[in-house]
Amino acid sequence: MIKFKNYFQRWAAKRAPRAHRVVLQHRTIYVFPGKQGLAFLFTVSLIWLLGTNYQNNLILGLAFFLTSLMLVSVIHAFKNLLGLTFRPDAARHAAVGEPALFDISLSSSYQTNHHGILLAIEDVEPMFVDLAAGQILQVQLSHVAQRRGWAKLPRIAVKSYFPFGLIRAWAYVELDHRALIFPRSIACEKPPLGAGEGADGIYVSTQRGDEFQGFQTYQPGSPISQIAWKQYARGAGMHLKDYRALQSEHYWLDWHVMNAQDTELALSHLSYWVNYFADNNIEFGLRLPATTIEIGVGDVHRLSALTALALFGWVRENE
Amino acid sequence: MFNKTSPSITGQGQTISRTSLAWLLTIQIFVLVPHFVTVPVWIAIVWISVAFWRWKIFQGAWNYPGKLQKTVLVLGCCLGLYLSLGASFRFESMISLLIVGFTLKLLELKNRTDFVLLILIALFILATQFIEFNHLLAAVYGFFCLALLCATLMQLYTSTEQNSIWRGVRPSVYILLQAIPFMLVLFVAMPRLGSFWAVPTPQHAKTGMSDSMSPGDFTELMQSNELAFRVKFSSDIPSREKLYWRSLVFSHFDGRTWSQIPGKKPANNFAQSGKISHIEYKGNQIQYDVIIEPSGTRWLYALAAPVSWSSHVGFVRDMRLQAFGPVNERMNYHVESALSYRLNELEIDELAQNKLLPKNGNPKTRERAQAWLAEAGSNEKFIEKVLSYYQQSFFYTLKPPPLGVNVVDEFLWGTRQGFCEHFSSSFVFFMRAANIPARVVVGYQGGDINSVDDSLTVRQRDAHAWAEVWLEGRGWVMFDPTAAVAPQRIQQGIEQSLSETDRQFLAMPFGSSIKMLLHMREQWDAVNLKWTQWVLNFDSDSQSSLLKKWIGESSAVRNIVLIISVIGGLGILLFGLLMLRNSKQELPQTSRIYLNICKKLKPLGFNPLPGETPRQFTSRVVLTRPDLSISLIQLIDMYEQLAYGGDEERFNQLDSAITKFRPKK
Repeated sequence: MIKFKNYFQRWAAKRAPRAHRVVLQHRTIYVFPGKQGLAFLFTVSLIWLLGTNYQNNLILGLAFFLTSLMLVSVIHAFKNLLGLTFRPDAARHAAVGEPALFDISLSSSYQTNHHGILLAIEDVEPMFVDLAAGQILQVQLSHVAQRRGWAKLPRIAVKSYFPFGLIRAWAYVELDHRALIFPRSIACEKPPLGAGEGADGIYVSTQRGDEFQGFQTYQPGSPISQIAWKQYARGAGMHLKDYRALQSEHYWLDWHVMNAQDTELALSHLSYWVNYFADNNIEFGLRLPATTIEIGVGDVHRLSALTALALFGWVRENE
Repeated sequence: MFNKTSPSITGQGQTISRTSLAWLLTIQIFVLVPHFVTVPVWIAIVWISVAFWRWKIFQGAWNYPGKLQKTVLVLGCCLGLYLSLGASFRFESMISLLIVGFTLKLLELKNRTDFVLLILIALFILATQFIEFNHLLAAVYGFFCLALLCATLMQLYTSTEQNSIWRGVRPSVYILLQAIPFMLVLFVAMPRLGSFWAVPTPQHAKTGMSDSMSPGDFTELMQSNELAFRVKFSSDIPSREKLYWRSLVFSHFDGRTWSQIPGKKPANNFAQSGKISHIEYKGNQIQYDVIIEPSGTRWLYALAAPVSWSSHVGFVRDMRLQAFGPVNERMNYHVESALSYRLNELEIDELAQNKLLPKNGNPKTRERAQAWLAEAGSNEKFIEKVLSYYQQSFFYTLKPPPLGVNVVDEFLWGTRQGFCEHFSSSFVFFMRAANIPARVVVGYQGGDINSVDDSLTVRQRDAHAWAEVWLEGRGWVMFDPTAAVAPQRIQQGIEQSLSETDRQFLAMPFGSSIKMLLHMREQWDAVNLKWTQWVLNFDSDSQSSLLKKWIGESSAVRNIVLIISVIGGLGILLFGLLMLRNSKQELPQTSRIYLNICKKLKPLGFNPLPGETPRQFTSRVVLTRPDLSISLIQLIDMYEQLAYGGDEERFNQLDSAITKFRPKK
């Protein structure tokens, strides 16, 4: 059974490969007359009828010309998508229910202009772009994920009605592109605070401040103002003076304190408080069953806390 | 090279941009202009006001019309159409209705669907203009309109707006040009069907022969330079005096007007080729194609006596060709004629009918005819005498003095000035007065030979009338009294037969006085004839004969298979060519510039080493060639400004500087 499953996985991957770089090729581009093309054909047949009834060769010629135009459009519509290259670029993380932004760089493997390309994910209003020859274009697609964790960029539908709107050319692009989705922030009355180590009294913050804490060994690139010149003059070598801020407030957000009946809700509450503390510049730490985020403050800290929440219980297989 | 643009998210939205609207209005102007020949002019005013209104809506100044306003507008336009065109089912009313709809739809133009609908209607209106105009120039104009239409459509499907009109039109012109080979295949091989139902055609008063001849009728024709028909001979062109294009036979005379025998329907008289017993053909036969301009009438033109003719024209038993319906479009037919023939009478009463004269009038002529006949002794001698009378005492002019009640008397024994219609009608009257069956034949005489393609152009001013007399044992014999009076008219054409003052009265083809212009006109006429023959008159007959030449027997299925395979091949070819053009990777501008500099230094023995920057390279050159240092360093400075400073304006400057840089060995 497992063997079969593996086989299927491999086959599916071959069939619709999620690739790091997708180039549209003849096998993946489909063309068919659009609604407008059908209306156009109807008009052409009216013109043909007119020409036949009047036995007028110029009118018949026009009808044939328009038909040929449609035939040539097929080639141009196909060519308009051919060689389009999609590469994933940066992804902007977001919370569940918020749009996550996926940057994609769009280029062509031929020296041609590509016109009026519509990029759409699912049923979202498509994006309309032109790609000039030799240009590398960055487009940003947004996708609202409904689950926390790694969100894959859904299949992109690439469409174009170029040149005259008669022929619809389209293709599907599956890009290996993902963004991290944090749990939705849901407020609750009290933060789930756990016991801190050395909880009482004044605590030395990890942040720089005014209080002298001692010396540290010099590291290249440290600000000159922190170098302990006196000690250096004494021949004690290069040292840095370590100043820390003293902080009286810091909290541990603790999973174990929470009523863990509803995991997602608990994570949502935790992420609300993570954001709350981070917004208010309050130091906090986070304790989860498998991971612990040490006390800290700032955007990087917030990000690592949220990441831990987003990937809570995340199984690699799901990726 | 790395551009981060903010793509328009609403580009594919439903709103109509300013450019789109401007394009659409332009298109409407170009598509509608040719129609104002047929359509009442007030529609133009409606269009202008509606277009103005729509533009105001776009600017946000005015609103879309409400239900009431719309109803009033539509009813008003319908009333206008009714008042100016009446309620009949005519071509003009159909087109007008279509155009009014096309115009008023502008006020409902709200989203992209409406826009596309308007473009599709524009295409249809573009097609209808060819009913009226099928000249080569009309086709060129149509192509131009089509290019604009396509450009309008195309700019809906690109998000970047072009800053120049040509840039907007160019890609669609390219695509249109690529479509031409496909169109030709379809045009040549697509099976043609006959009309499904009768359609109203535009009606115009056209100059041309009428079905009767009264004094002064021909004057109008002589003043018209309009093309009547053209002839392409398969063999040598017969000499000019033999080119009598027979069209109508007038046997009935009411004292003033000659006409066909009333009450006799010529349609019943059609005969099939090879089944004509009353004509005996002698001598060589000549073959030719006649391309006749629309005349609105049924009669056609052929040299006497037609032996065989195309199946889509009929032969009337008094030896002339006639179409089965009015000729409303240019028409082509093939005829084979024997220039010497004998035409016998058909029925016994035919001769009696051609002796009839009105009871009263022209007593002097009747009297003289009897006297002269008695004097001459035989009919032949009598005719000779009459013709020599014409030769001696008549004067050919396009401005004859007016005649009174006894037209023939006054002309023959009084004024003696006139042209073909006077000569022929008086001659025939004279014959009948002597109890000899005679009739008037009208048609055209001569024509201009185009030196470019050896076609013969016959214009309205070549209209002519002559006579046929029935002689015992010889049948109907042709006599042309005009030839007796003014032989130049027949031998050299009407221009040569007139006096200087008269010539001003005659219509002259454009440029006939200047040699170069004359040649240009001939060229142009030749092109037009080709156009008519190969494009306008290409029908299922010519199609099947052409395809027979290429692929053997042609049938509808075979044609379709041919079309599909040829079009498939063309498609693959086109795709291949397009991809070939694409894959040529163009070097960036700056690299090309640098390569140009290197090319200049190569003859001196300097080549850039791998990994050497442009500046290092030139410095190395300057070390051995200090004389080049000033110009080279200047070049490389400019190059670096272009390449790294992004100073695009430097490009032309540098380009010309490199051209000027010519190092000596």
